[in-house]
Amino acid sequence: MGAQDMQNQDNGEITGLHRSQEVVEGIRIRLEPAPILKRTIAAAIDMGILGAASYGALIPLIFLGGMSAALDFGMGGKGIATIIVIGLYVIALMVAFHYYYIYFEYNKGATPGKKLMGLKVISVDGKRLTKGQAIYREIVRWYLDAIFLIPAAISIMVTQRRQRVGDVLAGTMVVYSKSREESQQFIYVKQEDYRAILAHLQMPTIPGDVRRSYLIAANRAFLMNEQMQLQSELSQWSAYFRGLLTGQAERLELNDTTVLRFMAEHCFQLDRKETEQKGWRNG
Amino acid sequence: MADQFQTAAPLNLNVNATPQVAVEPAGFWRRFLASFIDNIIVAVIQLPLKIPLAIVQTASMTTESGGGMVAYLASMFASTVVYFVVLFFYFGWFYVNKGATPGKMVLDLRVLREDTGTHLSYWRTFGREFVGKVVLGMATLGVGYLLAAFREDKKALHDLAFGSRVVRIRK
Repeated sequence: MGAQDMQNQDNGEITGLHRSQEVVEGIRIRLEPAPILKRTIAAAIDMGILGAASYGALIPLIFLGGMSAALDFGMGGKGIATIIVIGLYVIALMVAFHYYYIYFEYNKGATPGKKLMGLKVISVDGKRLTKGQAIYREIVRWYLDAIFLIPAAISIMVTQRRQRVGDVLAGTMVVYSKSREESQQFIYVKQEDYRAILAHLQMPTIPGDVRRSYLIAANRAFLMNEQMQLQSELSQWSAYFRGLLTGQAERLELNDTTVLRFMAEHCFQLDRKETEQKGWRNG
Repeated sequence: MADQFQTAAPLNLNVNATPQVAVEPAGFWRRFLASFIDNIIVAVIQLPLKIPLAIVQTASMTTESGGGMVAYLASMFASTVVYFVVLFFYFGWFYVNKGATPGKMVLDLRVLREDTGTHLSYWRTFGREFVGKVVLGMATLGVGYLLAAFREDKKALHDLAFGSRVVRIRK
């Protein structure tokens, strides 16, 4: 499989891209190779997490290191205990780092940093990683790609699927999806629920001032859990939105909470997209 | 138009037809851990900018002329400026566009405006992170931060002063 892929690349075909597909709810989605900037940010986030963990691990190290130093230098030892403690710390960190990447890439398809940036590691045939692939690309990551950065950089620039050396060898690639990145921005309803409802509706436009005043009510009701105190105001809002939707909410048998949460998410997303376009936010 | 609706698949919501996301005030240790991660990321981002400045500093300390002192102070100043600029854009960009910094996002936290529940603006971020944390937090010897551990709504002093709130999202 790997050899044939390499051949396809040599022929200048982009068959790999076409075969890297994902099936979501019966729809085949062509996957986009991850942009380099997103991968870099994802790597920085992962290093931040691992760095924080290594710092945390320093506390037992200082404790054990102090004891072993006392043993060695105060009681006539030869420094062996200190070397063992430091050696164990380094080995523990290496095991933890490898485990982190292999666990998250094999089980979840992405490390936390990758997940935040909407990235996912897949096999080039579009399937999820096998354990062997996850281990292979992890070993190459540390002992080749991360040490000799240049081959990794060239490999990412040259290959059509934007693979580093470890990806080429293991037959994997990193893909990006905007919707996966955005899925974390949903706070009133889950992204899949929002989309499911949206797909069944003809959405009316909501005036900007209505949007802002509803967000204030929704914030109190759902983010601060004050539905009880706001019951009358919320029933007015739900009547208003049912009116705007002209019977569509009844046809889908949406209850009041669903209408209110859905509309809150809709207003929140509109607000977010507006900021994204402006690059700036008031207030 | 009506046909289009009839041919669509029936709406199949996950939990008893009422989609839910639980939102609660975020606890102290979770926020502490998040800022720990953020600080390390910020340190990593600064490295390429700080290394040349560190070289200038070291070189200027070995020079005995008056110019060495000036270079030393200038590089110290530049390094502080770099720190604050990186901090401003790191927190600003992530709070405005994502509603949370990477450390917070990893731990499912969001920083939202108290009144509207929307993301913070750059200036509110500036107030919260610099005036609220650096000035107020330090002036109160860290009690400003500790408020988050003891208040029921988990608000620290920088949240109270700049109308923000940190929530944890459980999907």
